[in-house]
Amino acid sequence: MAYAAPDNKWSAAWRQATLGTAVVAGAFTLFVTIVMARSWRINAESNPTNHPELAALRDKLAVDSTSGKIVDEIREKDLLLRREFFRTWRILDTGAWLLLVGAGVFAGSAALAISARKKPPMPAAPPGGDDLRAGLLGRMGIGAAAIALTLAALAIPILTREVSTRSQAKGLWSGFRGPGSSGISPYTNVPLTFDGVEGVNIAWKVVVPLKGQSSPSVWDNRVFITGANKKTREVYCFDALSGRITWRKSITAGPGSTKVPKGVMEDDTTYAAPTPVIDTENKRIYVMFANGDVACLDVFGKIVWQVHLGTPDNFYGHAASPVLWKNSLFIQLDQGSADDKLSALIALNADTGKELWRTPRPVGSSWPTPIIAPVASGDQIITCANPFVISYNPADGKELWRVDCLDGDGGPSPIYAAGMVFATNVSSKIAAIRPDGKGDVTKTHVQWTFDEDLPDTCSPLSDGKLVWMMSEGEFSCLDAKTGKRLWHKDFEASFYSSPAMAGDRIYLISRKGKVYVVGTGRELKELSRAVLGEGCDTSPAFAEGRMYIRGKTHLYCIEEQGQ
Amino acid sequence: MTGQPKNTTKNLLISLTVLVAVAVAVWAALSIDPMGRRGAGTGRDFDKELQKLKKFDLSLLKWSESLPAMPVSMDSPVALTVLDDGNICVGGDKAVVILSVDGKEIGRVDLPFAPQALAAADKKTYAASRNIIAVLDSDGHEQARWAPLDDVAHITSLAVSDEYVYAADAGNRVVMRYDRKTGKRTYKNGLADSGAFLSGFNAPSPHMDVALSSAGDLLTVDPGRSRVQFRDVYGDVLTSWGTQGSEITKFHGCCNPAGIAILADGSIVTYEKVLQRVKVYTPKGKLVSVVAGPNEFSDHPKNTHVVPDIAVDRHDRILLLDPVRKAVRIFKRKVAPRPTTGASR
Amino acid sequence: MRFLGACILVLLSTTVGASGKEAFKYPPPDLGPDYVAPHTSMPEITHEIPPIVDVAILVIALTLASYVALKKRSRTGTWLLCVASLAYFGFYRQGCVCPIGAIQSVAEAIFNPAAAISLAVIVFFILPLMFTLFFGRTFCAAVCPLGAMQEVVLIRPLRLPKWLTCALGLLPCVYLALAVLFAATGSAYVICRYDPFIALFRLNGPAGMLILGASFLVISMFVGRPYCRFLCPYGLLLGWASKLSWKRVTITPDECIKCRLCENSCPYGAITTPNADTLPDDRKIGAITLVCMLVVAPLAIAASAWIMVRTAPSMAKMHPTVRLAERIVREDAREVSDTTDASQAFRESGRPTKELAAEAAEIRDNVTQGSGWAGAFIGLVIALRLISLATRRTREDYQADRASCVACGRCYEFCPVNPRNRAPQDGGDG
Repeated sequence: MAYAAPDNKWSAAWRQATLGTAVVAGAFTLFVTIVMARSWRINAESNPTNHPELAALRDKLAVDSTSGKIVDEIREKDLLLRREFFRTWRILDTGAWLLLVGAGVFAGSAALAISARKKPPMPAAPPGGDDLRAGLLGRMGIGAAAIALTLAALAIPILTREVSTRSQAKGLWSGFRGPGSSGISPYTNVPLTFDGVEGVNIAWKVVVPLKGQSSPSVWDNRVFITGANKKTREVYCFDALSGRITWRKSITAGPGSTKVPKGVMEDDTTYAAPTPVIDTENKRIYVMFANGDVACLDVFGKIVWQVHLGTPDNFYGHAASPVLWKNSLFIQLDQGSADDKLSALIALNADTGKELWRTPRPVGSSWPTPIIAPVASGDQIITCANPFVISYNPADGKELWRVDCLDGDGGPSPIYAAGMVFATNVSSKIAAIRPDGKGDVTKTHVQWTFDEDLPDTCSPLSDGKLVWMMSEGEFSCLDAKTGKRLWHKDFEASFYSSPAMAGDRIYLISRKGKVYVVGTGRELKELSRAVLGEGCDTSPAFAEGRMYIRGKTHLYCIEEQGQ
Repeated sequence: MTGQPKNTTKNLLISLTVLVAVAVAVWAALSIDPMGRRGAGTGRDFDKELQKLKKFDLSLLKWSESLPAMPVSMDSPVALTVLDDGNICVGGDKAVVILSVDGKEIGRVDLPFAPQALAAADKKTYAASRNIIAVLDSDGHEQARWAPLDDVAHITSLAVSDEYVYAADAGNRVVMRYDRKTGKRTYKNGLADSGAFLSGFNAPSPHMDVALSSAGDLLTVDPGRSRVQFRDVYGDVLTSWGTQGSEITKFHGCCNPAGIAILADGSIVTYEKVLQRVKVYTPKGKLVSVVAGPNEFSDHPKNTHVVPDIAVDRHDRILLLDPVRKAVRIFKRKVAPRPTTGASR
Repeated sequence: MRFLGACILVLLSTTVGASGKEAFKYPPPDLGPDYVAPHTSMPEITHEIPPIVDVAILVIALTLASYVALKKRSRTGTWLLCVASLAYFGFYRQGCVCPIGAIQSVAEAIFNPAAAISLAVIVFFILPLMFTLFFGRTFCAAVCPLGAMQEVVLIRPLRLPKWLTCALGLLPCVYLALAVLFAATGSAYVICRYDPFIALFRLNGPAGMLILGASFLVISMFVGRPYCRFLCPYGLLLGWASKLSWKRVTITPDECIKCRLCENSCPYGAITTPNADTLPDDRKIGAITLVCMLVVAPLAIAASAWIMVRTAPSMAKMHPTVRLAERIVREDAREVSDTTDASQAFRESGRPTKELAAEAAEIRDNVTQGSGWAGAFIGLVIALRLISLATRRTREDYQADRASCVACGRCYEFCPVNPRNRAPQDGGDG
């Protein structure tokens, strides 16, 4: 392979020949590639083992096994598919060799064509023996490679991390108002509209045997709820797929359990108002009833332990849900009047039900559920009752701080968002409290208050920027920083259900079962209206693509139903 | 070659091509899945797939579980049968336990072996464990024991007719037939023979069931082929049906149905392992209803080498011995499937 | 006719089998009374070429390659042999057995006495190394099918900057370390799994492999032997052997006249230019750099080992047992709601979970330990490269770099001293 002299006719012809061959071979290769790609697609589509049409016919045959017509159809279709499958298979088989030959000829002739054009080497600059510079460049390269490799090595654990197929990663709706007791759903793919009467977007609805105001809690493919009457207290586990009751368990924790608590409003608070809380890790659920029974069951319905905390003296009926933190189960058992000195925050060992500690509370009967606030300095239990918002250390029950800001028979639970505690009750105010104080911080740590259209049952909702609250139909949106009301709207309905947020929507469910969906923006935007079809006083629970709502008599599973 | 004057545009173009090729190569290399997440090893897609398969047309769900289930005080209950008087006999743990119709334990007899299959007729209970078949009286006491089978044998199911006891031996993949009176194995024409009554089954795992229909036909399951077979007295196949597939009308995966039982009207109840489903088919193999879907067993650990035994009691209820809950679960026909009480779409 | 129809119905609704035997999963179609269903048979195992033939051909190919490259100094000869090797070892033998992959078998055999290894694989691993010790990397030049594949498609090589070749040059040692680690712990044979050309040799394979192969071909058109230079773990070993080789490729058969004609002839950047005439660099700077690099060396080794140990838990996942054990734990913790084929099979085996966990823990320990050594090895290679970059060796002539020259013979054509390149009138006889 000597160098081609430019005036050499022979070499010019040689160059032309090789170049021509390369072009033809390249075009041929391209053609073969296209034919093969097409055949590959047809081949994949005509595989008789998984052809949808054939599968449909087979299904038909399974139902009507005597139809000769279907048999003939299957045979005909199968034969056609097989023919196509093996025809394209042969094309692919031959094509691979043709492609190889074509590519080989192309590469060879292209190399020859290029070498024919090759001019004698003509070294330009004198060789630079600059070893120092070369060394520097080399070191730079090695350094860059070392950094890249280190980054790659650090990325490997992230790349190979197994993503949980269960929704636990996202936070299960394991208790009252879901993750962080916030009322904010980690799942945003829930239906915007549904109709419990017409059955639109209703996966199932089932009767809950006994009455209750407890809201659903969801674990994996189970939905837990409680129900009770004067005599019987039951825990229900529903199969999330079909809505069938997987198990039901009645709870009688001790001899005192049979005593009917006085004053329970059977149709309002009910005997089963506390929402079950689920220990997702240990597969257990904790339930409480108005008679003072607390029980721990495994998710299969076996009772792990049960205790009777004494019949609560609560003039509407005990309503606060139990709250789980590490290995402790907290019960805000406020009863009687403040002077009776009966109220206490009780911590039970979640494994055994044994009391860990009990902190007396200077308040009378209350109904809000306490929350665990993950404050930077450590977790806190935030409780609300007339007149105090009190924070405790969940480890030992020592009081951390209190604010005197509430009044009346309090129903709304507090919330914690953007480092602030928001507590409210009707006939007082909503207060934004900085949770980093000590002792009575009424004067020092209340960022702002607002006192119009306050809720008497529904808990507030906040995304950290805005705070929403629902009074008797009047829905207000406040700025979380300043407490300034941005907008409010009267829905002309009565509400017990706490507002819940999923993505950029807020679901509001009225006592009559009308559902209003509004946007989360700084301006009011009504997105849709839905109908549950029966009265509802409970808060919705969310799961992947689903909402569970307990109405007066039914439990609804709301999910987008495909057409 | 590179000695020629540099053509920067050309070089740039080539460099770009190379960069694209490198990017494609890196992408292709990453798409090769060394840890087998996709399907083969620990597939994420496979998870999703099985989750999808669990769904079925809920209008087929025409049975409901009547609660509570009957607890069985045993560590590993495995065998279930219904006695003549309607009581329920459960075997496991080297014992049999007799439960009354309402689930009370009314008898318990310890045995020298752990029964793995039970069948009862005419106040006699037949219990089998691996290669042993023993005859128990109505109280559960051992009366006789027949000549044991070889060591490979693994009896997984028994069925009793007027004359014979049929035993499915998943170890040898055969069905044995014993003369009830003599306990001798018999072959086709009823003559004594050391060989198997039926052979040629495909049973890759120890699940193979036999049953007798109300008409007296012998039903066998060929689990490897997903077939339920009806046989005459000579053991010849009259009809057979069953297709492998994940659809609700079919039998999922390998070696299903793992168990069968027969309802009073002759319908066949089937139990499938892995994608656990209890379903009812007509004798011709048409799916009638679903008794329980996979979610009814969601508390089962993924341990499939103990599978529930199923039986039908005198009230035509389907009994399912749940080895995980250690209880006999009862499924009853729904009286009137109304959308408000059941599932609605 | 009616009888036939009835037959079809019977055949469809029942399964054929006179004695209760069912030979078919699905009832076979009725193709008329005269049709006899063919007996199903397994295809015959194709005649295997005895390993000794492969070994013999390897020996012949290596001998020829060394002869053509060193004695005949013929680029054309090397190229022809290259094509022949590609045809035989590549397309005919479908890229298996190959010395590159043999690294893994050998590593596994060394670390796991229970692992079986065939003699042919050992020979395939050792022979090219031996030949390289004597004659340089003639295996790469004309015997290795992967090298040949890249060699024949190289059309217009780009000259890569020094820093890039240095950076990419580290990859083979990482690849080698990982390949040995995975093979030694019984986790996986990654070299085979990521062989870029195997799908092309077999004219079939998963889409990912085919695309990988195609992209490597495209890169090889413009970058000389990208796999050999920047990935091949065996090439690294051969490079070291080549440094010690008895004979090797020289650009000129005689004395170098420093005509500089060959300067740009090597598409693999393996020609070093003389530096004897240039002034030595500032000695002080050179010395300081060297000292710095000597200090950096142990740090590089330690850091690299530490990083690898850190990634060991993820690396261990390459082992199927570890993956299974982790899967079982996740299933038991109900972190996942379903099973996999592997976990299902494990459950059905009735083997205690603890036993599996213990086995997985042992493998994890092994991988962690191995990762440490692998990391140290990578660090050591980095350190040696840095030190060698900081040392100055005087070069009198244009030389083929000992480690990176793959003996392709391209430079022969450029050397005027080579008698073949002299014009006929000069009296050269070709």
